[in-house]
Amino acid sequence: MYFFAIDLTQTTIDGLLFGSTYALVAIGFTLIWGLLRILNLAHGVTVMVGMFAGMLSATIIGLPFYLGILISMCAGALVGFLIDRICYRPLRAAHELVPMIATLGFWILIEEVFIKIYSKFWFRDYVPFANPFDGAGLEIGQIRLRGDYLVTLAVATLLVIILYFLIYRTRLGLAMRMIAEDHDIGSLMGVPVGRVLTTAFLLSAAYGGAAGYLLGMTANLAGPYAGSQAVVKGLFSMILGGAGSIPGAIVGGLSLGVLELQSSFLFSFAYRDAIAMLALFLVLIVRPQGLVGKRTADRI
Amino acid sequence: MLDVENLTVSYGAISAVRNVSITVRAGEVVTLIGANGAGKTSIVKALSGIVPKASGTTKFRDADISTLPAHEITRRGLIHVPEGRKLVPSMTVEENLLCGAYCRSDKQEIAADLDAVMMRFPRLRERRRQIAGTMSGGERQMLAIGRGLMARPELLILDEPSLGLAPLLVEEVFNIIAGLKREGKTILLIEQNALEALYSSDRAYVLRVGEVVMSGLSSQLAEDPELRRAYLGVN
Repeated sequence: MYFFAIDLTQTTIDGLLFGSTYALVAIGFTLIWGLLRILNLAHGVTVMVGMFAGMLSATIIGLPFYLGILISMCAGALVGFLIDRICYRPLRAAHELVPMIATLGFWILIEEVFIKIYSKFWFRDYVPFANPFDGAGLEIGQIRLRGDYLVTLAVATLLVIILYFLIYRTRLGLAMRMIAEDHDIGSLMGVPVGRVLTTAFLLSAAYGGAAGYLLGMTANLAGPYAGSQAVVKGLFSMILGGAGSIPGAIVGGLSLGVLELQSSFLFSFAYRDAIAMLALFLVLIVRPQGLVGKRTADRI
Repeated sequence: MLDVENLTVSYGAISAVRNVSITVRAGEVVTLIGANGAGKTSIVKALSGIVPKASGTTKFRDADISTLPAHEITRRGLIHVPEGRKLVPSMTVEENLLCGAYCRSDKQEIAADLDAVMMRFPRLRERRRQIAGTMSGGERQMLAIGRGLMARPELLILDEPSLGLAPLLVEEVFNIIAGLKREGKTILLIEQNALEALYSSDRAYVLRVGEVVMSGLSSQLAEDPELRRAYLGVN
């Protein structure tokens, strides 16, 4: 019983640490949802591109961690720029489902093209991703905190603090909060709405790129389907926490991390996703707005 | 200050405003009155650039602003306080006021104007840290006007400021407008409350289904028997 309690605690802590990557992905979804009311289904592409940029910089070139993550964020942001220019800008006057379908097309197109290129270079499903923190860790009593998980949590925390600073302490943030309420409010106050939305796409995609690096590093692997997986995990986290809410994305991501590891530990790895979906289902019956989402106000 | 010529606004195949020409001179309070659906709001939305103009030219302070995007029009000092206030309910009163000063970078002047707005509306000072969404309709309207003033308007457009307010508060809104008029502010006032609007303005345009049907000095229009019967509903 004693060891079971230790293992349970260990699993919960690992889940929280690892869940911070899901929170980062969910933040990307929630920012765009909060500002535009569209599901940016192409968001997974930023994660995948961030992961492979990270794999190239960490494994092939051998750059240090902090440089690698910056490169991944830039690579992600580049994808975000394309999503804005291709999927959103030309279609912004159309019904809100239209840009969403465009992001779906972008996702499928880029992923398929990438898989074609990938299979020319590598003949397996995954390529190794160098993990400089492999084996490192912190022992607290019987609990062990994995080094790479701690680094992941630290990066995610730093990025969340930067995001909060941007939203609540800068002019850009003031503009975003106006636009999240109503695009016309922004225009009437003199906000160049299109430019602010481009910035939001860059920001959310940079966070997706960082998440890609961290997901690759902690798994020691980079795979071409990482984007699709990230879409599922990120959307799940956002909806569990409350769509459009940043605290919701964080709570949702951490909860999903714990849920996944606990269901693998308590039941079976095979039922991991099924149990997580069941939990989401039950939460949404009780709280349709998500764990911390509000019904109307506070969209970002 | 503002010269609108032959403005037409269409939503799809329906034209909400047809060939409307309006002039506002510096220091004047001009009102657009007319029944619901007469096109008043469409006109001012087109002026501030948040709905497209089908045709017509708009000159503001001697520059053609017909094709400028909304945020550029705001930067030139044409400030539109929209119908329904359009505040950000999750922000505090003070943050909402600072939204109005979004285009300005002179921090000291902004702080001075914030103080001046709170001097004008003491309720806003009492509630500066309160979330805007929890305020009453009258307070929200004061906040919306205060936010407009934070932009240092050359021309202030007030769209239905008395809409949805209790009679006592309607009175207060018109007192605020009278105060702004005394200070020499240039105002374009949109109102359904036509009689009050005529009493607090210099000139007026009467709209009916998207067209100007009468215009002139407010004091004369207020006495016009036909207008009183047809549009004001009083004898």
